[in-house]
Parts: sequence; structure tokens; C-alpha cells
Amino acid sequence: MSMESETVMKRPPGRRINPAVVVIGVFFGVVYLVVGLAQGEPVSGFVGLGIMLAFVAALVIGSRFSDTVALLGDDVNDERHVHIHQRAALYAGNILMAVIVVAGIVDVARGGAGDPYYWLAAVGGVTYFGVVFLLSRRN
Amino acid sequence: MRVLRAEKGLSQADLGNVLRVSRQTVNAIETGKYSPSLPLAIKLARYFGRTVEEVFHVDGE
Repeated sequence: MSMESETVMKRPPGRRINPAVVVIGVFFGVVYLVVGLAQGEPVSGFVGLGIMLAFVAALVIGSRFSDTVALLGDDVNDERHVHIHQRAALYAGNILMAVIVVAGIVDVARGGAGDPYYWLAAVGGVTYFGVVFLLSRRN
Repeated sequence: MRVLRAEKGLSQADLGNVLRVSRQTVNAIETGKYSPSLPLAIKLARYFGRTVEEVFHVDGE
């Protein structure tokens, strides 16, 4: 790596965040605002936008000083960050699916129809098997 | 790897900049908490002018 490229690089490679995180954060902030305005609750809309903008700002600014903060917003640059985010998604996905299945069973036991838990579980199951199939063909 | 890094007078952050990974990743590799991918391991070894086998070893060998 040349000295010239090192001086051009302002942010250490371990403190870069995925730009998509910023875009998605701002997008959902705008969504909160639009929904709030549409529901006639502008205050909650602006609060939602403010929270998302504050989160994105904290991520962008904090990642300049802290590797740990940068880890929260980086799932593409540092290979160890990618590995950690993959494992975190694995645990979160499995726990979420278990909770959805249990909630559906409890709902049915209480006399309900199981909605929306059954179709949520179906989406999760189809996604899981679809990805397994795709990856088995590509890898 | 820590010895090789010290011989070059590099900090973990410096080595991270060279390898384009975070300082924490360099630390995790040195402490054995993280095993780098093959491309990163080769990049590391080449930077130090060594083979992968000279820089890394499997516990118990």
C-alpha cells in the first residue's frame, strides 16, 4: 500500500460504515414522518424522523472515533465485521422464528386463528429453505 | 504475528490500515480470537515476507 493512498484515506478502514445503513436509516425516518402526517399525528412523525436522524448521525460521527460504533454500521468492509453481523443475524433470525411459532401456537390455543404468526413463519421458512437451496447450488 | 508486527515497528492500527481491516480485527487475529480468511492470511504473510505456515499455526501442532 503506497504512502500516497494512505494520506488520501481519511478514515481508517476499520471505521468505515456501510452507506446503505445511512440511506435506510434516513429512509425509514422519512417513512415515520409521512405516516405520522397521514395519521394526523405530526408530532410523532417528526419525533420518529428525529430519532432515526439522530441514530444515523451518531453512527456516522461515532464511527470516526470508535471501532465498536463502526462495527454497528459496517457489514461489508471488514471481514471480521461481516462475520459478526452474519452470526448476529443468524441468532436474531432463529430467535425471532421461535418466538413467532410459539406465539402462533399460543394464539391458536386461546381460540384464535393464528394470524399473522402462521404467515410470518411461512415467510421465514420459505426464505430459509430458498436461501439454503440457492447457496447449495452456488457454493 | 505480534512479533512480526513489532519487528516492523507497527502498531495494530498501522497494520490494520495496511491490510484495510480494523485495529480490533488485527488484535483478534493476534490473540487467536479470530481466524482470518485465506486471502487475508496470504496478504498478511506476504506483507511480512513469510509463508502462511510461518505466520499461522493450528493449535496443537
